[in-house]
Amino acid sequence: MNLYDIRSFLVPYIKIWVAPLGLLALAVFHLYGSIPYQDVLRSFSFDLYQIAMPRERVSAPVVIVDIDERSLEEFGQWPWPRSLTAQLLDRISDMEPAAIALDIIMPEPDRTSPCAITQYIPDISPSLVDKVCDLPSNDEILAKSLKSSRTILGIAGIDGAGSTGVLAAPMMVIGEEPRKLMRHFSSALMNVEGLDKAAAGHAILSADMERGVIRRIPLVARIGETVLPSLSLETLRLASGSPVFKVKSSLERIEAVGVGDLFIPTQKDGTIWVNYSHHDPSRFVSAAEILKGSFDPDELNRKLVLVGFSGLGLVDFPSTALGERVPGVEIHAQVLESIFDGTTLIRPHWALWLEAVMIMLFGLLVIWGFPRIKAWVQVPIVVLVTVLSGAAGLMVFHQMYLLIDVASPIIIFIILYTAMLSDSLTRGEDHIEVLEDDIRVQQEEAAKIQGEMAAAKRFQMGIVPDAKETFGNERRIDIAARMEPAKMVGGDLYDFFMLDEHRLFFLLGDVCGKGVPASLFMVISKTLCKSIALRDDADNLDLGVMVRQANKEIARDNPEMLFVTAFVGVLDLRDGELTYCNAGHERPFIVSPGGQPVELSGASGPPISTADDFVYKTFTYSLLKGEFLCIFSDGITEATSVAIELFGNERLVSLLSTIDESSDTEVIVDLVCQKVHDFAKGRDPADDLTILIVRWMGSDNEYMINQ
Amino acid sequence: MDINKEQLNDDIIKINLSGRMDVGGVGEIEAEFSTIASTADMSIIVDMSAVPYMSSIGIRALLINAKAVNRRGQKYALLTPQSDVKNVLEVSGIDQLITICGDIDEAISKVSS
Repeated sequence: MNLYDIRSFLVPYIKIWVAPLGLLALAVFHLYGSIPYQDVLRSFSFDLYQIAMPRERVSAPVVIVDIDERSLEEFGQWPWPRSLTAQLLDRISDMEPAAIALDIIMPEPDRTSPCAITQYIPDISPSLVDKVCDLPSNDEILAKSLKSSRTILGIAGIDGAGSTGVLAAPMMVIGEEPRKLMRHFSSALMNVEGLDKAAAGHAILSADMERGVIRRIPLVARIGETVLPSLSLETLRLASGSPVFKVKSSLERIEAVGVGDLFIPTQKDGTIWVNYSHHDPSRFVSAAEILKGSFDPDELNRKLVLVGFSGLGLVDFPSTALGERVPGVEIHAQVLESIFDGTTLIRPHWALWLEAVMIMLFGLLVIWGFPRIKAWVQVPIVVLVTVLSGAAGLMVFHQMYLLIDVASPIIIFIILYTAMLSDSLTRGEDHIEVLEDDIRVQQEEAAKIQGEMAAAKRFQMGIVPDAKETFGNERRIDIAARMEPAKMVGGDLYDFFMLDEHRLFFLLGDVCGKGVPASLFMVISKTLCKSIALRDDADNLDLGVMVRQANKEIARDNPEMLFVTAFVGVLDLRDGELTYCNAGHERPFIVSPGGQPVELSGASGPPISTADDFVYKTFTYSLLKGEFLCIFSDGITEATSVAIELFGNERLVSLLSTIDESSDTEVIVDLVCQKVHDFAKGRDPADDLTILIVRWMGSDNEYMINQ
Repeated sequence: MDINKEQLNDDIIKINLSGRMDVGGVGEIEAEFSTIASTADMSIIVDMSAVPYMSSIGIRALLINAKAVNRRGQKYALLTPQSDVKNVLEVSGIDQLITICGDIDEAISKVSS
């Protein structure tokens, strides 16, 4: 097997398998997450779910105490002295909330503590400094407040040098060790040590932004080897009074985190997708109102209280999946709300596989299904598949809080379909070019055949004699003939010529069949008859013998089983004696001047070349002066009208009986042909039409016709 | 046109034709007509009583058929053609090649002898 053989052996298989293999590769790339820009597309499609059906706020477990513009206006610029923050905490604590969490990091000691201020006062007496420095620092005041309230402090995970000795509630692991799986920071930005020690809980505030949007929040994260809960989880722990938070994990993934009996399903790295509702000002209470005591204490009773900023210029506002810019603290509040309502989102670990199956199914539909269905059905199917998949994705999101990425299969489906369309368009164009070439070749060939057929027709019409040319000077007969092939060439024939000075030989025949084979048979028959007629001694010519001879010779080579009916006659111009032989042909009519047409009934035998040998009988008839013989083929009697009626013998008889006796044969031929044409108007002629009329004018042209 | 055959006895098949024997009609039965005549080594009687019209194509079909049967040394006869068809057969001289019979007994005795 040489190289070419191998190639021709392989190519069909490659052609069949290249598309499905490409599809399989695509699905594998999808599983490994290596399709470019797929993450962006997926995030965008999940955003679309949320925009289409944003979460409804059901319960309101969280109140945000907001250090807003108004608070800054009334209580001074940030940073506030921590004694003021302590005052705020005390007020909140008095209202007996379930838990308090500060979304504020305080890494440096307060510079507005009394002792710290002394260094900015020039010439201050050392005794005064001692006295002032004996007063508790602001940080100590805040630490005291922290201790007396149940408050959580947040820290930020950072990648770089920093402290790793973070404090955290203990983690209870259910299942496998989860540390390796979760978000990891090398160190942390922490609060002043005294504050952290005083806090009842410690949480990590960090969340990763994708192009300014926070879509996912880690519920647990690791700093060094210490695992910290998120602000929301730690708030829940504190509120429920649990000493520990729990992480349920297998070797491959973290399955859920929780406190007490509550478990929140997470992604494998311990994050959750935030299920956003719209920004809602009713979540917020101004810190100024709390400090001034102008707030109904019941509003915070048994609530989860988050303390954070919305004062402009203090922080950058991240964006939600709904496209709203909100204070970071509201995102933590929304996470808590969705945990309370059981509406946290999860992208199940089997989602990738489901999407891969969808990609395969849609791809196979395009590769194998679409080539087998009509093009106009394809577009509705594409639209239907797209809409149904989109709707299914949205429903699963809304009803089951599952995130399935239907956008990837849909986009791949549409790209494949477009590729298939453009491919088939290109092929279609090639195909059309080939067809056009074919048509051109066929037209050229048809024109060539048309030309050849026209030449054959000229030839065929040329071998039958013209009466005027042949007998222009013969006054004893009046003869006319017409032949009209049904197709370009025909199977009818006629002939006439003088055997000698006084005797006219004529024949009219009809080959059974039409077109080229019949026309070839016609030419052979005519030529053979003429040569046999002229070969024999003219004086002793016996028509029956002549026809028998012609029959033998024509029948000898006749593979197509064609045959020819023929009427052969010899007219002696001296006395009008007609000798004839009718080989299966329609009976001709004898028409005498002013008389009724009469059939010439002598039947000599079957058509020529039906039997290998046959003895044909000869008959005679004496023509009167002016009497004429009308021989015709079945193109006249079997001419068919649009009403599928035959012209028939009767119409021909009545036509011949009305002929003006003074008309010459040319006029009669014209008249008969005209009548037949009128009768068969609107239909293609069924058969070749031939008519031959011979009239004896008398031995010395005594019969005068009107001229 | 329609065509069917019946076995009269061990040696004779009767073929029943019905419909106009023109170009269209003969086209419909030509293949089966010649198959019957060329496969069975028996004499054949063709019942023409349900054929109202016959053109030269019909004549050709009968002739080709009869020739095939005769070449095998078997006999061929036409049974009770309608008058128009009989006229065509006479005018075309076919009656001088193929036996035409007026009733079935005559036809059976003609092809049996």
